[in-house]
Amino acid sequence: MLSCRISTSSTARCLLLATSQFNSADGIQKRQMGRRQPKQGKPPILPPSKKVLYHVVHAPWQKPEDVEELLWRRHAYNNAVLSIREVFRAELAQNASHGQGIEAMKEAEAVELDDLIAENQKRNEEKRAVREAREDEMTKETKRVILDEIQVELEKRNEEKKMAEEEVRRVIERSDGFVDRQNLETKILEALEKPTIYDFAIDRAGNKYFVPEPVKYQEGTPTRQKGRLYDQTLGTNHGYVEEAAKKEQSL
Amino acid sequence: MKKMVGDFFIPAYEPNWVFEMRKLVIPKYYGRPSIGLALFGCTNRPFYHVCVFPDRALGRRFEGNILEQVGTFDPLPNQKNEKLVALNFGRLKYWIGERNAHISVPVLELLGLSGLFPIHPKSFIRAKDNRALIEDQQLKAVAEAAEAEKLAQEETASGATSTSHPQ
Repeated sequence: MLSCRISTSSTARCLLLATSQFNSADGIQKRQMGRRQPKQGKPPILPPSKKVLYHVVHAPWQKPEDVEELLWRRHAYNNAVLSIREVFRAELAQNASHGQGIEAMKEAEAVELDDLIAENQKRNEEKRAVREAREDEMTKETKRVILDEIQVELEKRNEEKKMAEEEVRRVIERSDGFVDRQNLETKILEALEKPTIYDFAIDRAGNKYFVPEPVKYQEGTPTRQKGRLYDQTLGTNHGYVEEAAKKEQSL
Repeated sequence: MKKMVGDFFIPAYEPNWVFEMRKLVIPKYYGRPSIGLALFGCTNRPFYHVCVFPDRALGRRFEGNILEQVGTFDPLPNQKNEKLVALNFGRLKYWIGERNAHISVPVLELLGLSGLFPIHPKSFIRAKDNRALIEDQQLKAVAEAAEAEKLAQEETASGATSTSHPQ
């Protein structure tokens, strides 16, 4: 059908036509794809719904006088835009040549950055000086406080030492009568001669009641049952009857 | 349907035919940067960035496609009934003059209103339409007021007659 109309000069055009018809006849994808990428999450192969696909937008026609006005206005506007582009290009070139271009701006910005850094450095130095003075003062104060504390502690320790020495001295003084290796034998003999017995009862007046009466040398077998020994009222009649009689006799 | 012009065969438009596939590389303006609005914002809150895109054929939706942001446009009027626009004129001059960027019509209108460009033709038409609309509204309001006045006069007149002839 088409090939009968092909002329030698329109071969390419007809080839294009033929391929396009082949595509449409073959049933491969024909719809106009939008320029936009499909929304994320939507399978890209999914075609738009029929409502969207077959929705034809009927834009209202423009008024004829508007079209007429737009025609000459657009003509003037496009010419103006062309010359404005030219003006901008010339302006940029002039700026670049007069040292106001991007290179000059970069240099100026570098200089400004250096200035700012120097200023910052200066301010840092000032702050550092102030900080050092403040820290010196604080260090001195801290040192003073620490020295005070050390002095207090030392005084306390000296006091304790003095007290300890005093105690030791007292102990040494008291230790004259202590038993040691040298006087051990004599002390033993002394103790045997004059035994000190603490097995007594005492009343509020300080009277000591020895029951039974202590003896220097034990004679016979000491009694094993001592319960009855203590079964008497103190201060009335001490010891056994014989002993009381002995006491009366001695008095 | 089909006609011959000289030796050339010119096909008529038929909706079933697909003449060409989608072209990402359009030789007419391939590689020419384009300045346009990129829709940012969120639901019920449009906000546009005036951006430079590498090519008109690429999408302007994704951030990867944006070369440089040269301004913003807030289409929602603020409390003073202003729509705020911010534009970086220096960079715009560079892209327009040095790089010969294509500029979309909405951006052209914004540039015209901002004073960098002459007023765009569409702005004139829009202004004319708005003026006509306002005039219509004023006329309508005047007519309604006159009608209301007339009605009130008639009512008063009829009320007077009715009081003169009690039933």
